[in-house]
Amino acid sequence: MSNQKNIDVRDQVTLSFEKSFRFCRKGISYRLFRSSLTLAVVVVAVAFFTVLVSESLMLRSTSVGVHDEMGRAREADTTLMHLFHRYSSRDLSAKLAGLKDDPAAVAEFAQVAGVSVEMATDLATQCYVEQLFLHFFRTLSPGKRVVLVKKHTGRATFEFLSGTSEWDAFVVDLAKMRSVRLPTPLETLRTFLDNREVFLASLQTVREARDQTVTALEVKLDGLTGDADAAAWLGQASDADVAQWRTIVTASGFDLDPDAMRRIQEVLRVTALENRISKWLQSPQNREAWKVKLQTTPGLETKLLMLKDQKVAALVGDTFSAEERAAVADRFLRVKHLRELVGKLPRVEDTGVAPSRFMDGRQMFLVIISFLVCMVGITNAMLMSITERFREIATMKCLGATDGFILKQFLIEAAIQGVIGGTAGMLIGMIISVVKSWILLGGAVLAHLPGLQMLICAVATVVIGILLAMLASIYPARAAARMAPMDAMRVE
Amino acid sequence: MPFDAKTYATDKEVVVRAVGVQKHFTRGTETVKALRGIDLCIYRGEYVCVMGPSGSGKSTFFNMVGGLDSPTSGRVFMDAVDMAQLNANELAFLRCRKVGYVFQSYNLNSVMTALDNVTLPMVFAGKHSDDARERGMQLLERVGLGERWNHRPKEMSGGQQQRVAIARSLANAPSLLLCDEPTANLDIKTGKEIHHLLDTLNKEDGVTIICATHDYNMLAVCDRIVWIADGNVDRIELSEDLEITKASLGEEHE
Repeated sequence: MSNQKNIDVRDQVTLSFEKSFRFCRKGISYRLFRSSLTLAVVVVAVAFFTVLVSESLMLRSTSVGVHDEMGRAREADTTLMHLFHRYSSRDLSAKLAGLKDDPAAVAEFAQVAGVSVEMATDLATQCYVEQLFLHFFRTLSPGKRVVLVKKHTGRATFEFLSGTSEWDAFVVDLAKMRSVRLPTPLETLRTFLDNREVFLASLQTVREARDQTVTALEVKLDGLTGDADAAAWLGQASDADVAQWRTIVTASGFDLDPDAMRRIQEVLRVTALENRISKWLQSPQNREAWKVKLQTTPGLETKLLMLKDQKVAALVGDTFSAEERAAVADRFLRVKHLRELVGKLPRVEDTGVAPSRFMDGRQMFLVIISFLVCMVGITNAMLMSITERFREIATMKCLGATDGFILKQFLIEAAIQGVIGGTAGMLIGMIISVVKSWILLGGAVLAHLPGLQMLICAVATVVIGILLAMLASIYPARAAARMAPMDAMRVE
Repeated sequence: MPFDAKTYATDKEVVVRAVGVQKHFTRGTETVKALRGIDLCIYRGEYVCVMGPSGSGKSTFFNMVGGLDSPTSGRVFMDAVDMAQLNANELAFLRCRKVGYVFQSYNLNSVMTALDNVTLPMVFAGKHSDDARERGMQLLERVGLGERWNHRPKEMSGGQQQRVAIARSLANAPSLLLCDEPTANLDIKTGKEIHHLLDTLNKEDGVTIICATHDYNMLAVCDRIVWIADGNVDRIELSEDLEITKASLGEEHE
């Protein structure tokens, strides 16, 4: 009696992907209702995820955009402050930390303070470390902070940690807190603490040197502007005067390019004009005129907003030209609009050391829960579908389908559902989030739409949809693959 | 005349040989002995009916022969291959090429057309799709459904569906056709047509058929009848020994 396995399975075929795919497509289109349940689950989960992510992306991008615009609107103020402000040691550290990645700005600072670029760079790096740890200790939860550094805050923390026994205790406590991550390796902090005295001294030196330069600059400029405030003077000065003013400033080491100068001057002109108009509007005789014309005396802000109005034009027309009034009213409106937007937008942290968080813990939790629920839903729907199709699966196995083929077929089916559900969910989510943000912030959202990021988000969500569907189908697909072929004989 | 395997088997080729096949199922603490040691040979070109009351182990024996289940002890050889030693993939291979199945409830894939259903086993066997279609059409014509190749199972009657199923089971020219009560869901007239079809396939094309049935009409066309009771082969009869067979055979051929 023969006992050998004289069967050769090497010519057993693995079905091509294309054939398996066609197989599944037919199946899905036929069992549309059952598939649509799985689809709906994917759609809801993916849409939810997309809303959270794309809304966060849009708010961030809008926030950055609006703050940028705000920065440009305030460019004149910030430039003048940059030129004449005298920093405290703490502010200077924060400012230098922010300059760390901007070599041109560091070079300018070095020139103004009269030190070498290398020293300024080194100082900026140390300031960055200081700011990093200040931020770290500030954002630590109160309980942990008390354990690590007692009640010390700000720079006193570093002083406290400089003590030998305190440092040792700090290292031990830190090792115990597994959830706390230092922003840099521990040695960086140690080195910083070791060099702290020297660092503070050189920061002080640089600060004083800079203050001297600024004072000297002010004296030089006073010769040109007299007693007038720089902003007011620049707002009314002739082009030649402004050019001269800029020459004096750049001679002190400041980097003030002509384009920036032109922008500043333009803004300062409008501001000067606004000041004149405001003064004029608030004069007693004008108050009376307003009262006669409008039966009421509006506040200054309303008056400025009404500058383009016809009624007001009649009142103001002779004193200020239409262009002048329009320029003032437009700028006033724009700044007011920006200020409103900034109020509505989430705060963008601008410490220069910590990027703002993309998604907060609560949202992360919601997303994970929604994915879990989605996967349970898909698994359930798939299991039901497999139970319903036991005869079909068993028959296929009788006809020679391998376990691998059945597995592959169900995974492909899941992937198809993932693609369709993911795409639909992504589109729905995108629409919802855009409409929602648009209602909240208006046109600013569309102006600052983060196209590339949204595209990446869209692709990622579809991929997530596919992964979710496939992951959730692994168990049902294996159950189907292991089904006994003799079930095909079963009669209900 | 009692059945004598030795005289019957002279110079006949064995397709399936079952040796001491036992199958035990464990239900809770209780062990059910579905098969208690069956020895049986099935020869090429034979038409065997397996009869027996429900619960006799008939279906279990069927599963063993078809490579759907493996015995607890004993061996089943299919074309001299011991099926108990095959792994899942090898069994799938064997089911694909060596055995054709005809089910009581047809088990056609309802999404596919008749032709697609017939070509399915050939797809699993890796046949080129043009060849598969050609053979599929031939088979459909053989069972008398050449015109209806593009119909789906829902658009066909039970008898027609069973014909498609028979065509499907023949797709890879199997050594053995395994029919599990093929006429149980059909009325008497259509049942007879199916009997006739199976008989023609057996007599003209030399297809080996094992058929489990309760249908006495079936006995008329087969060569041997294996009676199974209580997990054992009760008796084996040649159909020419049966009185009823001769009578119905006469009717059938009129």
